[in-house]
Amino acid sequence: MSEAPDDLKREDIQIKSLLQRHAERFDAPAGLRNSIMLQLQPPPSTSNPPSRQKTGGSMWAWLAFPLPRFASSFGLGAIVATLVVGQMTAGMQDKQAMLLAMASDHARAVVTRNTIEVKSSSMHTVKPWLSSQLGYSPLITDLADQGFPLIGGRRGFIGGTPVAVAVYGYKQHEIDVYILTNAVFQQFPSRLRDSLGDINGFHTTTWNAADLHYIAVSDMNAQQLAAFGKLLAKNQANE
Amino acid sequence: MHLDAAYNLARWLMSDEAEARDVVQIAALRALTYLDSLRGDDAKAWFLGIVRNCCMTALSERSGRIADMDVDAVVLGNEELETLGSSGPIPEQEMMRSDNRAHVNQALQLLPVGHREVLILREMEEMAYDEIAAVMDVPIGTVMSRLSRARFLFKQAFLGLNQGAAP
Repeated sequence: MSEAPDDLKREDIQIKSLLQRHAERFDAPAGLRNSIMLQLQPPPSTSNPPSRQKTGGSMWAWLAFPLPRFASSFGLGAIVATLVVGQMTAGMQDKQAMLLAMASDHARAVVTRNTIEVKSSSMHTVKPWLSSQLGYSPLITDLADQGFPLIGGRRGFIGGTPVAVAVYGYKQHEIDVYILTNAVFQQFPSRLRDSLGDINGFHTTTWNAADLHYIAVSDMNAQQLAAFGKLLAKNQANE
Repeated sequence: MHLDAAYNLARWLMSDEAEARDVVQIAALRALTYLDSLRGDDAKAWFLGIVRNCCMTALSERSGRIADMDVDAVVLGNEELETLGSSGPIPEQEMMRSDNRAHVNQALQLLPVGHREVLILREMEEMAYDEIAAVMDVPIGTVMSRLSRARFLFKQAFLGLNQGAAP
């Protein structure tokens, strides 16, 4: 880093001194540090725990670790950024903050790989677990035969409300299926309810079944995701 | 870790604890998205730049206008600045007052956000001009003129506060 010539006048030195001695330095609260760590770090159970590199000594050290392992799903953060920017510049209202919340939740889960609270390919395990956690009973079926194995489930948080998330796999991709009650879904602006749209290569598909709203989010091919949605909807209709 | 620097900047710019937390959290996620725009070892300037932009966006949203868009309009020409700032160094007794801490913090808070940020980056974070230019995404010349103006405004505010209070 080249330092520009800096021939400080006496009063500049005085001001520097006043600020360095007296200006309050606000350290990041412990809670903030922890919640960002939770967002960005892989779960501690991995065989290769995150090491704080001395040289990084910085945000870099903890950003750098998860990147290579999760590069494929990494761009999901783009959803958050896009929506954050969109929300702030377009002056979106509270309702759209819900969409932001979902995208944030999704990105956080995928980026940290901290996605799965109940890991099972059995719908007879995942479904009761989600029901017990959330008080409503999503329709979940395994689609392994069709190439979309059920991986597990977790709780997501939309605007502070816990919602069921079923996690499916497709080749190298992951599909998060958000399952919302009507009360939560109605908080979305009506124009977004049918199609959340595509953002930076991430796609969504939505459908309803038995008074619940399903929103699948993934970075896989849009047609394949739509096919997945149709398939799951059809299986649900046959239940 | 640059989180303390990030939070300090956000806290000073937003003047609100909860909003500073939100902004830093958003910035951390955005940083993930823009990893490929990071070059070399300027991680601190890069991350503070993201934090700074998140703050400005939030501030403009809060006030319904671009935060301190008039900053450059009020920056005086060098000549005028010289005249106004010709009162010289701060008198020693003003530097030694027991209420300096309160007045320094109040004076800093009184500055327009664009001047506050340049003082924080320069004097508290001790960043080089080119690093500050990267954070604020402006030419180095702008950093220097804004810093000069910020010091002047700070001195005026600080002395004004001192004047209004018994020594």
